[in-house]
Amino acid sequence: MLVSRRGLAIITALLALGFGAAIVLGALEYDVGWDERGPEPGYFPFWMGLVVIAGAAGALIEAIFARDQTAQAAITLDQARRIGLFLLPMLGFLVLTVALKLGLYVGMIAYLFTVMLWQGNYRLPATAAVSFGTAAFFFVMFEHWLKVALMKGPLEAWLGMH
Amino acid sequence: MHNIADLLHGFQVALTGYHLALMVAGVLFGILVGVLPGLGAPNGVTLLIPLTFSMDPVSAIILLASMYWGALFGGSTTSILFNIPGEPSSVATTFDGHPMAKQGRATEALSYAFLSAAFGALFGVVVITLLAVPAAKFAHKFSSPEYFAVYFLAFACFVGLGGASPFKTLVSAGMGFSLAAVGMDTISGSLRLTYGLPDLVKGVSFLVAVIGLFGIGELIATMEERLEFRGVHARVSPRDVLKTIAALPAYWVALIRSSLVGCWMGITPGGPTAASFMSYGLARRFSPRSDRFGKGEPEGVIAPEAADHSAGTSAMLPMLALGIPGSATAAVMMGGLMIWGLHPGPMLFVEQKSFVWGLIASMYVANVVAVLLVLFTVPLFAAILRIPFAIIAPLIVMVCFVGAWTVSSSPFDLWLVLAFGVIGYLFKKCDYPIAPLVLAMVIGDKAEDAFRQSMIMHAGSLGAFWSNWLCGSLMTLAILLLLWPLIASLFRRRVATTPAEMPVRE
Repeated sequence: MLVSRRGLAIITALLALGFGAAIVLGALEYDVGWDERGPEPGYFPFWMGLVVIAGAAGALIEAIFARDQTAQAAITLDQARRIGLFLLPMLGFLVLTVALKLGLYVGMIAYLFTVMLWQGNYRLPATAAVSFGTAAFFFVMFEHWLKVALMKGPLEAWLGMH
Repeated sequence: MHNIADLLHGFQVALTGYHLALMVAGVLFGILVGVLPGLGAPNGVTLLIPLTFSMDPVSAIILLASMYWGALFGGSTTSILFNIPGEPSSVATTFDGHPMAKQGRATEALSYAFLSAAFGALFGVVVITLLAVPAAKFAHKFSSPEYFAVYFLAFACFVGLGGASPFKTLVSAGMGFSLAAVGMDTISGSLRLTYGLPDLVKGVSFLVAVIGLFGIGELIATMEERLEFRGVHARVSPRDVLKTIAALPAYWVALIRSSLVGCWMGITPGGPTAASFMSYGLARRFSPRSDRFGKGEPEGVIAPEAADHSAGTSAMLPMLALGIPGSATAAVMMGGLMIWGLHPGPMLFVEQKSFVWGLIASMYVANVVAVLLVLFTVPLFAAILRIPFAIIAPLIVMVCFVGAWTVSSSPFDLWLVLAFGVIGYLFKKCDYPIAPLVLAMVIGDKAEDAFRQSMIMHAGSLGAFWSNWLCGSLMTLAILLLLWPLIASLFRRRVATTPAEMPVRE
């Protein structure tokens, strides 16, 4: 067991508490009070942040004093491993696509390749067919048919596909 | 009866070849989206919206609405055949639908599900047709304070009647409103909650949030279990369908009760999921065969399906007439309306007659189209789930990210999808409701504007909301609903000494 139901409920409530605090701090950049014409720009986010904080505090107390289900596992180690294996390639996809600015097509092919070869145990021909086929499908559907340009990187520029 | 003439005009709009083709395409895409885990009705509508920017609004809404009906049908299919609800609102269908399928009565279960769903949907459309004009007339009396009161009431309903912990509902709604406030303030023009990040100036799009919350979040939850589709084969033969049609009238009480529950939950923002559970609970309690529920009782399929679909359709009424969506999917559609430059609310019925009545007429046609299509394509779509999940899941992930990119061509949005995916997963794990967050993101700006305009109108006094009987009663009702969990817990403590029969909980 990685985390119990009670543990996860507490963690989530604390994260929500942090979110609420961030909103309140962000709202404080502007006036959060009233002038003669009503509330100032910061007023609404400020109080919404407080609503989140109040709700999260309530959920936290509920989680701490919950009588049932406390010992049950929310996420087992095995489940955490599977979630990690699902999220890790996705993170890699985002790093390639967004952080390294290689574009959606390159990221997509790399992602599908990794997932199918490494996690799906598919052979190379099937993997190549699915990943290049998907990219080609998206290219035809968006660039040609729907006239929506997907994010492109240096490779597409080099191939003269802009 | 103006309604009849308007509706006939609507049919003229809806029954063109182009719009019929859009309905077929929308329904088929919807069934696909409903069948695939991780892609539900809200997500499917979200993915289509960027593609409708260049379309005529009537055509666009017919496509989106048809997709919604298709998704509702697709969700029931996987519930019955695979015991995997394709949509949250078809969870209750698994209770009796899958046992029926395992007993070799898959065809019967599917026919019952589709036909009662169609009954519920058409019931909902008739209610919309009858109530649309009176509701819009009523809403004509609204100005800013009334609008704010109705928005407030919608969220109070979530807290008071939603079934989840009221604290968690507050967190969800508050987060939605906060996210809606990010970026340029519509009244003062100041840049709020951007934390110095230029990417946040344009705000956080609810479309991106929905793709992450419902798409990636759902997939993470699915990944957690070692998912294997072990389905029951099904082929729907016309004879079985006719036999079910003959048997259906015997369940008229369940059909009408479930449709009424659905309409109520659809018009108030309870949504289809709550409606289907409530209707299943009522059916189990009042049926003469209640001991057979959970073991393959047809009424246990009929009740949630009719309620689910009537809630889905009737959720369009408050969206059109008041600008308040009754379900997460309706919220996304309303966001679409605003993107197309329409203003949901009573003025829509005056300024955009063809749009409103074209949509309502298309709901009659598209639901009939959907039943016929789903009956004939069930084997095809069931076959899709036999493709290994190791291929399907990464492809859905890619569809989600590409969909998020098409919203506003912003690389930053792709990171947001992942962040919302994790939030969606945590929310699902810890029973936080997601619908209030989506609703708040869509109507956040409108609610804040309504609040600030009421304050400007009434010199900054909260008395604005009790300045007339309409607004005052709406606000008072909302506050009562907000405090309802507190009142109910006090009441329950007092009667706890007698062994009270607890109502069926969701």
